[in-house]
Amino acid sequence: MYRDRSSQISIAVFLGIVLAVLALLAPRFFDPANLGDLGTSVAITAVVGLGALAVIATGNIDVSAGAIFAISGVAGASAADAGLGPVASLAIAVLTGAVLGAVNGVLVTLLQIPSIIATLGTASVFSGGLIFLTDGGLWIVGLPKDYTWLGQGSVLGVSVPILFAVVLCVLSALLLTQTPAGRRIFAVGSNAEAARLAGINAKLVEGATFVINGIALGIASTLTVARLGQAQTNLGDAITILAITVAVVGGTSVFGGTGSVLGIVLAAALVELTRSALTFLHLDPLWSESLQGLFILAALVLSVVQRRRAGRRLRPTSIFRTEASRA
Amino acid sequence: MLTDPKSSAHEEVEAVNPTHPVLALSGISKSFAGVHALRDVDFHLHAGEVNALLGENGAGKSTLIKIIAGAHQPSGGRIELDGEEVRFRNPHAASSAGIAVVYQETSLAPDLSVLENLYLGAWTTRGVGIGWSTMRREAQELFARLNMNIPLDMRLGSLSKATAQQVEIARALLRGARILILDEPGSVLNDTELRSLHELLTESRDAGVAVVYITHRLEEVFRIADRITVLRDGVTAAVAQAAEVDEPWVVRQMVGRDVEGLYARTPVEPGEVVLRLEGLSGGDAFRDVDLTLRAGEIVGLAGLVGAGRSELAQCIAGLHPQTSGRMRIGDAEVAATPWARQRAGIGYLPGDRGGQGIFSFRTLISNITLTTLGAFTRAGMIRRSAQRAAALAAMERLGVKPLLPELAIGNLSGGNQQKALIARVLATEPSLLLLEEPTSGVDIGAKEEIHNLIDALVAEGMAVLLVSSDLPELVGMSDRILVMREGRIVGEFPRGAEPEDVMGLAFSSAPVEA
Amino acid sequence: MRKRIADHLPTAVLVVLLVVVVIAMSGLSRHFLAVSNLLSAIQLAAPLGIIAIGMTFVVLIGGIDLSVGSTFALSAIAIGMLCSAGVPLALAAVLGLLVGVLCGLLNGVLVSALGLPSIVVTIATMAGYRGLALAISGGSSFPIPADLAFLGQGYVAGVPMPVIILVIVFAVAAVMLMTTPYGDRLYALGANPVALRFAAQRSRRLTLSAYVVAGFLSAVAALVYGTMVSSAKSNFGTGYELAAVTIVVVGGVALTGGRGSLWGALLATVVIALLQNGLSISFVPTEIQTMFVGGALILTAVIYRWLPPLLVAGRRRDTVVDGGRTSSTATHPATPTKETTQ
Repeated sequence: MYRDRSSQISIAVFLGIVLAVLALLAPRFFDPANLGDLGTSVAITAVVGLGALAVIATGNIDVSAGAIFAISGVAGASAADAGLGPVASLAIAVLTGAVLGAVNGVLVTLLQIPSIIATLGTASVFSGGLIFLTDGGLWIVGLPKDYTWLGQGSVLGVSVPILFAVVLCVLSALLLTQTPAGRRIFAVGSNAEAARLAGINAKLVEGATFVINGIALGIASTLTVARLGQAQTNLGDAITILAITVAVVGGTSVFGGTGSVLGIVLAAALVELTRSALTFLHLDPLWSESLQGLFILAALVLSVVQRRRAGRRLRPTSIFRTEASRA
Repeated sequence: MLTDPKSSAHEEVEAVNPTHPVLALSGISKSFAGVHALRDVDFHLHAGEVNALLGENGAGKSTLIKIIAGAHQPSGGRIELDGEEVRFRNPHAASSAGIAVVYQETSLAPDLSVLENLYLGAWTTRGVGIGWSTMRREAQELFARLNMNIPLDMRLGSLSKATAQQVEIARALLRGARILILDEPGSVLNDTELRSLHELLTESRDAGVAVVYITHRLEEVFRIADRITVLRDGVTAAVAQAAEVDEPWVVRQMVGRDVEGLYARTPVEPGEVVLRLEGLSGGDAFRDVDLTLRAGEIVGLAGLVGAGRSELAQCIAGLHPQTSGRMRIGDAEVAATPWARQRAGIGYLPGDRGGQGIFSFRTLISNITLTTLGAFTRAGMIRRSAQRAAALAAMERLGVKPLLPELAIGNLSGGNQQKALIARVLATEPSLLLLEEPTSGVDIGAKEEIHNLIDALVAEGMAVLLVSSDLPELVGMSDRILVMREGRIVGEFPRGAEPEDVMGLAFSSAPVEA
Repeated sequence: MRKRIADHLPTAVLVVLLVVVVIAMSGLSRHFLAVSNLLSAIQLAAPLGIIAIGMTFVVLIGGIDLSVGSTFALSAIAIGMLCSAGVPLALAAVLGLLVGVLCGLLNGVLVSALGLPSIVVTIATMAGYRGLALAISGGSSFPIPADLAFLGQGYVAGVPMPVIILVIVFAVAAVMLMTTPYGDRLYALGANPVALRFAAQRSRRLTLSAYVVAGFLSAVAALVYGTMVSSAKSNFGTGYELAAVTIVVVGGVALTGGRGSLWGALLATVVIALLQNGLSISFVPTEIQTMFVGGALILTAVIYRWLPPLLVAGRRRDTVVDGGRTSSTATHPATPTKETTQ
């Protein structure tokens, strides 16, 4: 199987640089408490990234991620608040995410609306809907301990979110590299026409990735709410851009067809590490959004440079039967 | 030589091999927007036989293959598989029936590995997971048999076109197809690779597969074909056992028609040198090209697709990089940008009208005047009436029909679209025309008009470089013909050359001198 | 045949939409149809309309610019902070416009020279520009002096200035797109970028220009809005990129490029403006308004996608396929796919 190591190596190098800077300028960064906290953030971000990976790998995009995150998080929190217990609450969050993802999937595959338009539309429908359903926004506090354990607890010294993330990452990696279902995702993203000719149901695959994204967001939002101990409707504000940043920086091509779980994990680490480093180095945290934008651009430019050096053309042309592309 | 192919071919197809065919196409016709691509074609495939399908570009081979592959539906005729009538509604239906087609455009996923592409859509499973090691072993065995050295873990998109095609062929064989169709595989393989491919095809044939082999390389044909079918102008021109015929016969069947008819040329004295190329190279596409073009002459460029003719023309037009050598237009060396070249008097007509030429849903006015908008601009705004008048005048001069400038160009027939496109190229008043496939997909009437137009322009001093896969056109219009093969010019023919000779040089697979 | 239906469809849909909206909104509130209300509705939507005009340029060439809202914010902050630093408002305004141009320039260079897909580039710059605005302003709000207040708050012959500015911008853009060689070439670029290059036109420059226009107009909108509310804050324009795309799509400008007219965008701006106004004077909460906008986007996308084929299929059975190619439907234009060979 083809594995693209070059992007993973670049991220690892960046990670190394940031860690080195921190070691020199802010050694307190490496206190176990802080590292544990950072690890939890990385874990949750990685889960979000997994969902984005699935969608982008098929050549689509989902800008309603933030809204889905918010709705499923609130749904789960409400369930927990009503005393349904952690398992049921998690299930409800996941189910909500899956259903919302399915809506996106239907719009894109059955109604054949380009994913950018479909998800821009659902982003506002979902977020508007959330505020409406919660009567202008809500703020749930004081969630039960068995629920918040999901975000704050630990098993054998490792925080629960990290455990979740590890399990999910391992499962995803296995699925994406060792099962036909997973490989179909990359096949469709790489050349949908060829995939169809080979008997793959491209629509089903694309639709499924939106559902997968919804599920991932449901899990991630539950972990976040549990960790914070409270839920509010603006939960998902920064999630969309975060998801895309992690995916793109993690080596997922926006044209579809490439991507790896390892890349996602490394990218999540880089993003969270940098965010955290900003605070420790006493830099203004307000720069973090800018920084994410910069990351994406840097990753894109880097991938262009790498491809130029490898002699590959930017967009695979001329020998593959695919659909037309535009500027 | 001008036999009516239609009547005799039916009997010929039957006479050559009377046993029941695996796949029988009878009376197949296909038209696209009024242009007949195929008329009443018979094509029978027998198990354990290699059938070479030959014909010039445009003879209908691709269309026939696409019908067998389920990518097109025939307008008439029937298809029988093992004696039962079938309809292949889509490519998947055809491939489920055991038909595998390897096109020149690779139908593989560029981001996946070679190994994975071999098993695209059909990964071997071991329980829930993919059996990578089994797949790898099978693939390695296959590659060893095929003498292919492609690393299995390499990204397919990094491979050359030739190598990617090999993978696709391997994939078809791996899936155990009953009917294997190869669309000009030889054009991208080197001799060793070709030999192993032939061995493999022979093995497959012996195992009962029906192989269809489309090629231009005639010695290939006689190396592996059992039977030869020649298409010409959309009909079956001839069918014969390979053992009973020879190369000259094949060429005659392919070319067949009276060349003189469509191509009256007024004799012109060549004038000054308009274009001079010395040792011009454009990367891998073409190398060491020497060429001199004078006003009032037409130089034809013959060769197969991939020989470098397009790239050479585009390089002159500033659209393809020039990596070494010299190019002088008139007396000067002109900057290598398309607009500088256009200003220097070069007019370029792209070979792919639909993809590279027309703006399909924009009006004729817009299409024709795109390059000369400045002429109608006053105070920054386009005077629409002047623009329309100019477009109308151009349409009248070139005979574009219907004479409605507000129509979207996509609504016109191929011939009229082409005339409109030529009008655009002429609008910048070039002194040198680079014409790629000027009459491809154009009906006979428009063909004649376009040829007369070219002749008239040349008589007034235009210099023309004609790139055409239509051999009679090339031979009929050109004052001299340069033959390109694998990026180099391998020969030159004066006016009046025999098409077979030109073709022979273009199609030969003798290695080109370094 | 199919082409003519596809061309007239947006106008028809927009007119129907306009009628429906007007009827529905006046049903919701009797104050809706008052002239002062209608003018005020368009006044409020003017900045967005100006941005949508800029977005139209980009969509026409087959791209998309999701950073318009962020450029809007950044320009506004630039103006506000410069004023607070003592720079005269007129100069600050010019510098603010320059900021918009630079933002557009960066987008344009990345797309035209590096060939990066516009959707990802502009998502990145969306975060980048807004982040920059947030960071340099520290999240605080900056007052905009009253010297140019008439731009945002003044009236000429009873018509609010922002509306007049919108009309002027529209007029200039319309002239550019519909009467100049630049406009013709821009449409051609969207229709067939390969053919444009083969016709020896400067495609890269054209591509770059579209993004610069979008950036510039976002800054113009910022100036109008800033003088309207007499302040500048980094959260200006949140969600404007969605709204601008909605207007462009509803206005019938195809995301594949090369097709559509500015009139459609203007009409769509009016429709959306009236919709939002009607809903808010009926005290429909903002979140429902947002839902309506999102719903309108999806609904029109579906209509434009499915109505033409359904109409043509009803009219005649057509088995003719040009040159062996199956008719292409707009695939996923803003999400780039791979190139084809034919």
